[in-house]
Amino acid sequence: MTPSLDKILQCMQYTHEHILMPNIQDDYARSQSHTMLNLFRYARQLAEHEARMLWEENRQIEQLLARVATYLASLPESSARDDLVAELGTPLPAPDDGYPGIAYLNACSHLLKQRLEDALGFLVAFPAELKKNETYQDIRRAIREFLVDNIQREDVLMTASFTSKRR
Amino acid sequence: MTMAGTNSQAEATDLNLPLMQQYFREKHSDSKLQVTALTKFPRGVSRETWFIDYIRGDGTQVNQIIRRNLPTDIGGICVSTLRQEFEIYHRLSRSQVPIAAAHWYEDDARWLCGGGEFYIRDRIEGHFDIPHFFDPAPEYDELRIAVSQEHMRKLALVHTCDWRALGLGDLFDVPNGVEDCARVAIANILRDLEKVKVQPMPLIHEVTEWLHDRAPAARRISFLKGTNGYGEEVFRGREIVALSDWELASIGDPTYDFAHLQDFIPNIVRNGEQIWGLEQALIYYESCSGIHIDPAAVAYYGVMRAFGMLMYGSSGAYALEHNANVQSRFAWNATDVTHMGKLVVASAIGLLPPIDPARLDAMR
Repeated sequence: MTPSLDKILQCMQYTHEHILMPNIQDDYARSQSHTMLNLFRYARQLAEHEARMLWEENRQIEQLLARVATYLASLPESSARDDLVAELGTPLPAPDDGYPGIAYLNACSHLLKQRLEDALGFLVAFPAELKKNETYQDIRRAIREFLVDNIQREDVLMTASFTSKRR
Repeated sequence: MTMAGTNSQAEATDLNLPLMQQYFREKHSDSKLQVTALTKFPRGVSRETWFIDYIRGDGTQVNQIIRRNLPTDIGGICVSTLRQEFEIYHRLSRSQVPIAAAHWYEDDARWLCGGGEFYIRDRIEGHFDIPHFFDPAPEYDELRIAVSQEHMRKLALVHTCDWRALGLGDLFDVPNGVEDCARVAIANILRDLEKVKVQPMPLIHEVTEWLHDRAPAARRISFLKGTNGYGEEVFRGREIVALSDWELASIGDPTYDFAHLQDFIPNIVRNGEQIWGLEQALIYYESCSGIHIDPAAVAYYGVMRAFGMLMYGSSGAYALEHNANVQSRFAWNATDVTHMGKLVVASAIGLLPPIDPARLDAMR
C-alpha cells in the first residue's frame, strides 16, 4: 500500500505539531495535544517495529519456557507442578485464517507471557531453603534476563517516542 | 451563568443546571434555592469534577463541588471507588485534618443524567500553586522551607489522627500489626492490579518477592494520605487549608506517604551545607508527630510506589481495551507511565542499573 502507514502517520504528526498545535489556545487542549504528539511518535514506532519485536520475543519466551518446563519436570510430582508442566507443554494455537499477522503475534505473546507469569509465580512460592538450589537459581536468572530484555526492547520504542513535554 | 450545555465538549451524560437546581432544592427542602453556575472542570482522568454555585432561599451563597464517576466502568484511572473517596472526606471532617466537608453521596438514577454516581463537597478557596516555590534562587529558600514545614505539619495531623475512632478502619484493609504494614500495602496493589490487568506481567512476581523479603516494620499504624505534596493540596498564602486527592489513601506505615510525597521536600544546599532535604524534613516531621521515619524505609516504599505505577498504567490500558473513546492520557498511562514503572521497579530491585533522574523529570 502506498503511501505506507508510517508515511500517513508522519503526515498526521506533522500537521498536528506544526499546523494545529500553534493555534490551540485553551490550556487543557494544549496539554492534551502534547500527549498526542508523543503518542503519534509511539504509533509510528509500533508501525515500524511491533511485528518483528513480537516475533523475536515470542521465540525467546518459547525457548525460556522449554527450559523452565525441563526443570519443573525434574521436581517431585505434585498437582500444581503437573498442571504447570501441562500448561507449558501445550502447543500454541495456529492463526485462525492461517495468516500470522500482528493480532496473532500479540495473542501468542499474551499466552506465552501468561505461562511465564504462572511459572514464575510457582517458583517464587518455593520455600527459602529450596531457592538455594543451583539449578533453581539458574532458572530464575534466565527469567530475569528475559525480563530485562523485555524492558530494554520496549525502552527502544519509548525513548524514540516520548521525547517532548508529555502534557 | 455557565451551563454544561454551552460547553463544546458537552456529552449526553453531562449534568445540567435545571436538573441540578431541582435536585438541590429537594435536598435542602428549599424551593427558592437558585443555582447560579454549573461548570465542568475540563481536566482529570480519574473523576469528573463540577463546580456548582447556588443561593439558598435565605440569601446564603454556597460554592460546592460535585465529584462524579467517569462513564468508564472502573470509574477512571484510579481503581479506588468514589464511595470510598466520599467516606474519607466525610469521616475526616470530624478530625483536625484540614479538608473540604463532604455532605452526601448520590446514587439515585433520577439525578445522574445517565452518567456516574456523584457526591457533594464544599469548595475551599485557595490555590495548588505556590509562586516561586520552584525558584532555586536563595531568596526563596525561606519560602520553600516554610512550605515544606507546613506540609510536614499537615502530614503529621493525618498520621496521628485517631483513624479507628473516625471509622476509617472500616474503609481499608488494616494491618494486623506494625510488621504487617508492608504486606498489606503489597496486597492492596495486587488487588487493584488484578481488577485492571489486561496483560500478563511476570515482573510482578519478582517485585513482590523482593518487597516481601525486605519489608520493614513500621513504627506505628497510621491513616495514610497516599498521593501528597505539590499539586494535591490547597494553599491560601503559605497555609494548607485543605488536603485533597485521597485516591491512594490507606492504613499502614506513615513512611509510605514520604514515598508518595511530590516536591515538597526541596533539596537546598548553600555554601556546601545541606540546609533542607529529606533528613531535615524528617526531623521536623518527628518534632510535630512524634513519629520517627527511617530514610532507608522511605527508599523501600519508593519501590512500592513504583510498583503502584504499574497499576495506574494497567488501568489506562484497561480503559482503552474496554472503550478506546477516551482521552489521550489513558494511552499515555498505558504506555509511557507503565514502562517507567517497570524501569523504576526493575532498577530498584537490581535488574537494571539506576535510571537517569532526568528521565523521570521529563515525565512531569
